[in-house]
Amino acid sequence: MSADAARASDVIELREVTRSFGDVVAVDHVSLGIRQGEFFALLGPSGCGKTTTLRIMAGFERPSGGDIYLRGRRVNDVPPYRRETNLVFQQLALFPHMDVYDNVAFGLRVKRRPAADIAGSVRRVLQLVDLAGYERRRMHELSGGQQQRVAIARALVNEPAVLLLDEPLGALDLKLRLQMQRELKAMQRRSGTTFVYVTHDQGEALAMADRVAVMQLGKIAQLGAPEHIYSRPATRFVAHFIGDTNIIPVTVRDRGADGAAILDANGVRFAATDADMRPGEMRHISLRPEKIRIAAAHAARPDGHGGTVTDVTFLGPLTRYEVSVAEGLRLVVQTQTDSEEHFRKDDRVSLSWPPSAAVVLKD
Amino acid sequence: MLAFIARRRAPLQLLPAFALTAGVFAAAMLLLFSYSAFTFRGGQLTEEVSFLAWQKFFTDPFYFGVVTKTLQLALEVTAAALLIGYPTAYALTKVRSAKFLVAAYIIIFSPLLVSLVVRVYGWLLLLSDNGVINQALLAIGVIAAPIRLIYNETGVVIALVHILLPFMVFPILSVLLQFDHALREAASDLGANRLQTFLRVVLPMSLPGVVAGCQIVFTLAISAFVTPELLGGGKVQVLSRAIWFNVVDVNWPLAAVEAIVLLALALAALALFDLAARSLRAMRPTGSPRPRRDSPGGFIDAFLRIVLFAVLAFVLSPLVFVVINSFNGSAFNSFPPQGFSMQWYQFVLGYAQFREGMVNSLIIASASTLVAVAAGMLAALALTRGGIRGRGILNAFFLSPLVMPRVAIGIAVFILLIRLRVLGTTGSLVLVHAMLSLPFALVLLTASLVNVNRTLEEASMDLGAGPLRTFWSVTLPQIRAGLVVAAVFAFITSFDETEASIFLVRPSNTTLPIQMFLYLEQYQNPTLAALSTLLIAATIILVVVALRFVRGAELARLVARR
Ligand SMILES: Nc1ncnc2c1ncn2[C@@H]1O[C@H](COP(=O)(O)OP(=O)(O)O)[C@@H](O)[C@H]1O
Ligand SMILES: [Mg+2]
Repeated sequence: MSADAARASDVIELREVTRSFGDVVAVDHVSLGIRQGEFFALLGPSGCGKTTTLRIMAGFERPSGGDIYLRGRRVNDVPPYRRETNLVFQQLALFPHMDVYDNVAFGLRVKRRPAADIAGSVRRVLQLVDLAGYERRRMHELSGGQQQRVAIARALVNEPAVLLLDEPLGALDLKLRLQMQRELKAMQRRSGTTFVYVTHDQGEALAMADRVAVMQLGKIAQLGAPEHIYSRPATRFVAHFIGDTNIIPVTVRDRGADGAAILDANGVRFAATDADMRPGEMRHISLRPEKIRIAAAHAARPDGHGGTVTDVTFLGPLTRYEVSVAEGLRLVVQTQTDSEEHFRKDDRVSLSWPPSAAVVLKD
Repeated sequence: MLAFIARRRAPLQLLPAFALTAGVFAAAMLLLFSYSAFTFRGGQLTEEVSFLAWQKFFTDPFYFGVVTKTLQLALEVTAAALLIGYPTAYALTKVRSAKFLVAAYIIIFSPLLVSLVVRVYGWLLLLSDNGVINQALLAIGVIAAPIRLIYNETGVVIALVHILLPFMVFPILSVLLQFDHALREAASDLGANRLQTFLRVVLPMSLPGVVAGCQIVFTLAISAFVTPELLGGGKVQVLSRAIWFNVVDVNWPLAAVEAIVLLALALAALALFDLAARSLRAMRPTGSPRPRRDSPGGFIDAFLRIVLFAVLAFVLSPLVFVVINSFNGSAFNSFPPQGFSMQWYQFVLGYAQFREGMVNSLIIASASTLVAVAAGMLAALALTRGGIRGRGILNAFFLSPLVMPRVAIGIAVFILLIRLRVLGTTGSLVLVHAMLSLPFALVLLTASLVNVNRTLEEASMDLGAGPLRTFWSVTLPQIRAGLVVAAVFAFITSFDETEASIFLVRPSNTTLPIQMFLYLEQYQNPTLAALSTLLIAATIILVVVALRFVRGAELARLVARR
């Protein structure tokens, strides 16, 4: 095999792909591989380069540097209309002068498939997206969710190697969005198609994806399974972006007998199982609010840290406390509203957490 | 609060516009219908009801020929304008430099700003036997003898396409500019190449613009008068000319019948094109349009660029050669010019008829602009905020003079003014011109008012400003651009009005374009070139001054829309 050959299991591979617009580097040396049949999410805040990355995969943007492989073939110079990818546009881009059937059949028609084949494929894909019977509807006669499904059907009918989706649920209201999330995931399983899904909504990415790449300023900050990214964030940015967390600056004091590090945050000492730190080093850790146990001061555990409740917010099933533990160290704690004891402002409490809960960050 | 007050005063605010449209336009049209039933016998007009004129029109094969010729000419002009106009509009959407774009817009729309007679005169210079084109072809030896380009249908079609091209380009351009670039990308993503994308997505979606452009061009082409009269050499026998000759012969019943037939043809054409527009499928886009992101190149774009430059040259050339010819040393419009001379300017400035015409035109245009903009402003306020019932019908009524052929309006108003014994007075011309300008003013002012931020008005009243104060210091600044454009449009409409006014003036009290028309029918020397050059210069100054007012708002929006 030539040196160009990509890994066989990856449908799409980006190698050191860069894309600049003038001074703005929208995509900065991104390397990643997307596996056959997986649901892959590109997650990041607005402007971090997700759309540009997706448009490079679709062929609408040419990389300024690096290479892109589709099924092992270098496709840097292949125009969109000769690529086995299909894009579900953020604004859908449905053809308003055509009905549902003509929209879905468009790709097969320009490829000059026989009409009978086209009819069969369109029927099957409309069944898959639950739109059988809507063939002759025009775009403005459909609800937002139905238009969404037409856009997906129009792409899926071409049996692309990868289906690319750019914030496809962004325009929908919350309830419909949750329903479409489930439907999309089901469609992906039924069709067995590889999905690359761009979103700025971390809940959406965690709920749907097999793997997630978190992007920041054109770079990939972390790539992995959703549970992994949630429980072991690599950087302060990822920890903050995925869910609520306490970021605590710490100094490494010592290494315990079991290999755990002893950390110090403004005089508050605790252990962290994460290794690879030298005593004296300054680091940040992430401590998820729901990993912290809160108890009354008189029932304190031996490893508990005393503190005072400074704020209580009722969130329905959950209750959120802010607890001042030491000078300059204030922790957010979240508990199940009905299972735990309740505290009020100015109550004395004791906080504790297992060493595995303190995740040491790279930066 | 403003809306409340507007509602109570709405009928009053509509009064001036209503009086203008009903009193001048509707009354004249009704009179026209009644005159078509009167009798013309032995060179005499009598008020005896006979329908002889109708009978003559529908039995004499001559008139059948005139109607067919009128329709044929309009079809040729529409087809040619579409063939040139579509690629032009398409090429304009590809222009990336904002400066060049503004320049191209101004050039393409410049025929609308320059007097009709000036444009026709420019084509005479270009197309005549000793004109620019024939002399150039002779010089390079392509032809041995001059070919006939004017005083036949060819010249009339060329000049009409030149005059009507903006009406084709503009609707197509506005549809193409609203085109969602994401749809083009979607087609490409689904496997369509550039040609397939154009044929299956862009072209079908731009059809509403094509239909609208053809509708306007066709309707204006069937009623054209000055161009077929001056460039047709008597050989292009269309309805408008038949009307003119019958009026001169005092055969008003027959002229009325012809005007009514012309009107019927115009309305039928409008209805047919409307039907075509409605049969096009609803084309509401599902998302908000996104501007283009990529920049394709290639030979298609190169081709479009050549088309654009050729069209710009086509549009500009008659005006350019008018200016060149104004310094011609020879008296025969010869090309190339023989020597340099300023004598034609001296002649123009000394020619009393032109001076009087100019003064008359300025008075009439200023006064009618004032009337039209004031009546239009009041009516626009009432229509947008008055909460009036039957707004659609009222609006259609105010706009109806737009669809009537100018020649038909001319003969109808002519009869009305004769009956009222005010034919040829300055006041009557002011009112007629105001009636003709009112639709433009109303449309432009309504569009501006709809865009006004009502919250600002509410804020102003909350801070204690009364309705008039609020209108003056909050509303008016927001519609300044629309007001300036409306005034410029009204002024140019009046200053350039020929095809209706030619029936309405007296030799002793004539406007400038009609003096020019009469001069052109008799003489062929560069005098008109000098006068036209002065008019072009004045138009440029007017436009530049107007642009100063409009710049920030409208122009930026025009360019930013892309
Ligand atoms: N065509 C373009 N021209 C100039 N800048 C662009 C263009 N496309 C994207 N950018 C810039 O690149 C960065 C990333 O954009 P994008 O990929 O759209 O981000 P995201 O989809 O994550 O919100 C942004 O700063 C954006 O302004
Ligand atoms: Mg985006």
